[in-house]
Amino acid sequence: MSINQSAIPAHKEQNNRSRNPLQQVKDLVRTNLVSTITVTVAGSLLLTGVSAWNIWSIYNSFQSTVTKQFELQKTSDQLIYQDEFLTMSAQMLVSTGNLDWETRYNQMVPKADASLKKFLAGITAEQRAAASKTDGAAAKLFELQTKSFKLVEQGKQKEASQTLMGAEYAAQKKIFGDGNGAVLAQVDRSIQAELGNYQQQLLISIVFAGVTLPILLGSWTFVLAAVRDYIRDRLAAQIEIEQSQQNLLNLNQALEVESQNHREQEKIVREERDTLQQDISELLDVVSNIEAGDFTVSANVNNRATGLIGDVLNRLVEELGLLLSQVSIEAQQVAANSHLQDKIAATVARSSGEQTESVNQVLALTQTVRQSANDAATQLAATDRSLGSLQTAVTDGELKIGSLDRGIDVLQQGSDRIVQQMKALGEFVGLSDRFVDDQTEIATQTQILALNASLVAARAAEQRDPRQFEAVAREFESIAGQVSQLAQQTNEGLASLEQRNSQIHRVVSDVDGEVQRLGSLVNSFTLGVKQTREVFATVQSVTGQVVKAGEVVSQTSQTIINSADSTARSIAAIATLSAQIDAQSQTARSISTQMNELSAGLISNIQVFKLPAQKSIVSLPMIAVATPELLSMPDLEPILAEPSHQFN
Amino acid sequence: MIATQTPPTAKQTILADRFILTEVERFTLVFPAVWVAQIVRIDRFQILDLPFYAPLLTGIVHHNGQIIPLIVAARLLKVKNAIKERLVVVKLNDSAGSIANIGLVVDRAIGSSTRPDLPPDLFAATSTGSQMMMMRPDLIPSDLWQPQR
Repeated sequence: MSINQSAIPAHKEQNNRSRNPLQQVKDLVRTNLVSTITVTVAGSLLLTGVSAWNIWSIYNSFQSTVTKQFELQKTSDQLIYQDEFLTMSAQMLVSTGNLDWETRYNQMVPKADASLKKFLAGITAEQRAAASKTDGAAAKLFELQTKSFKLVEQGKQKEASQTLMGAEYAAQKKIFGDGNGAVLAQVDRSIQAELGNYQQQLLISIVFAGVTLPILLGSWTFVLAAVRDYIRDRLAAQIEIEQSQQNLLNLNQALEVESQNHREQEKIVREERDTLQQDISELLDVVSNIEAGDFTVSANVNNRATGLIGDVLNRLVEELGLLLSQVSIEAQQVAANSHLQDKIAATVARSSGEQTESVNQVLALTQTVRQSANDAATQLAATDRSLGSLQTAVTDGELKIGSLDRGIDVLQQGSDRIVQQMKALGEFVGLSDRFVDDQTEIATQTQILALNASLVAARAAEQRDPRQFEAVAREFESIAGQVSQLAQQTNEGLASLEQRNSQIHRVVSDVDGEVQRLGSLVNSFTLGVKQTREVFATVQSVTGQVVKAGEVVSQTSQTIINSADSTARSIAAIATLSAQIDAQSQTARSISTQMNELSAGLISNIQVFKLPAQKSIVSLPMIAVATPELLSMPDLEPILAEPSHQFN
Repeated sequence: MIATQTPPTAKQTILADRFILTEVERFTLVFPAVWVAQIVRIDRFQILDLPFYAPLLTGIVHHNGQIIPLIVAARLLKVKNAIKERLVVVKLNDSAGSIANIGLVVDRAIGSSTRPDLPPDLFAATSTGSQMMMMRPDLIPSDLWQPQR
């Protein structure tokens, strides 16, 4: 991978000055990416190698020191064990006199010498010099032990024991032990010092590694970020180049299509221009024919603008031809209607005379109606007086029925009181029934008690010692008999009481039935009176309605008289109007003559134009066109249809 | 009815010759007095129904510390009878054999009587046709105590 420095835009160089130091470092790394990566890799390898070598050397030294320490510790433990073994073997020999202990002692001596040599070889010269201080004591102790062994062999066990248990042996033993302890302590201190050195070196190595690791991480982070940015920029540039190339291709294709469209449009415009010149020539021919008064010609219609003009021109010519045809037909109809109107005016003049005669007849009839209405009003007044007397009689009858109704109310109240008393009697009988039931219950219970008592008495009587229970049994039996008799008597008395209660029940039921029948009779009587009162009320309302009807008839008669007067006045006005109509009909006849002459002139003028063949032209009916006002007067139509109509 | 409400007399009869007479509809049901522990009256609401047993076993009732199964005598005699609100129950004792300690519901207790006062045909083994009947254990079906469902 190579970095082309010239590819970096110049404005980025200028912006570097205004950026922060971190950004400047990033830019520097991107600028010198290959050399930066090389330096970073070399530095990383160097630092890693130094750290690895340092840790490896510390590990080796530490391993050898630990091994040495274990060996010294093991040898020291063997020396202590062997010294104790020798001491105890010697003491056991002098104590027991058994020479086997001497044999064991002698077997251990060479091992102790070998261990001592091994120990002295593993320590420093200074430590060996300190250890040599105990050699005298060791030799003395060995001498004393050898002496005691010889005494034991000579049978002087007591002297041998005194030798090993003596003060000199103990003093030499103490010197030997203290000297060995001091040497071992010195060896231990030496080993601890070496371990401290190794720990310090290891700490320095860890600190070194801790310092170099963030440096390496930062360096690699910068390098990787720079590589990532470079790749991203390169991909973006590649995408932009591809897009530009695609845009150029699309533009080239669009230009080619546009050029082709231009050529086709030019050809179409040329063809349309030729066609338009031909269409305009044809239209000019059609206009010339129309100018000459020929409305049968038509222009060509197509989907071009000239076709639209030709279509509009054709519709104009067609509408104009239709209009002129309509005017011709209308003029002919006006002429025909003028003749008809002339005839109608004559008919109206004739009918006006007949109408005058009819009006005279109506006036006579109206006088007759007025006379008849006066007679009806007189008869109605007499009827009204008769109805007044009838209404008075009905009011008297209603008063009498009211007094009868009050008497019936008194009777009904008495009947209600009887019913209440019978109810009280029924309740008393009910109480008596409950008493009977209670007594029956008591009697049944008493009887059952008596039976139980008799059973108890019988069982007592059957006991093995009859003398003891005989009296009790007899007494029980007696009581049971008495209670039973009492129950029977109570039953009998209750039966008779029940019979009496039944009789009272029957009597009460009979009385209740009688009272209910009386109540029903009173109710039916009350219903009859109510119906009579309703009949009276109906008669009264009907009489009132008749009186009101008489009044209405009287008012109607007066209305008829008034209507007859107004009819006479209206007929007189109609006679006046008919005279006016007669005069106007004469005027209409002269106007229709003038219209006839005008329509004849219009028809002759229209004959000049050459019109298209007649289509189904909508035209009004002749009578409607001629006399719409006449048709809007429905009363006049039958008169026109039958001029000889008269009022009868 | 011959021996109804017989009053006790000076002449004592042994318990074996005494009989308790009860009324069930048109019948007179006779119980040997030696079978009868006592005659009690109970209210209908005291009866605990036994729906899983035959209809003849009307229910059970708790009386004086004992559980008494109840049989309606009218159903035993196959006559229609509505159960009243307050019932008369003849409770049998251990002497009744296979029907010991049950209670028979009757319409009412008539009284007691002795053997000579009762018709002789009442004591025949198969006396079932007359109006007066002697209570026998074989009148009660043997499967009465088996649940029906």
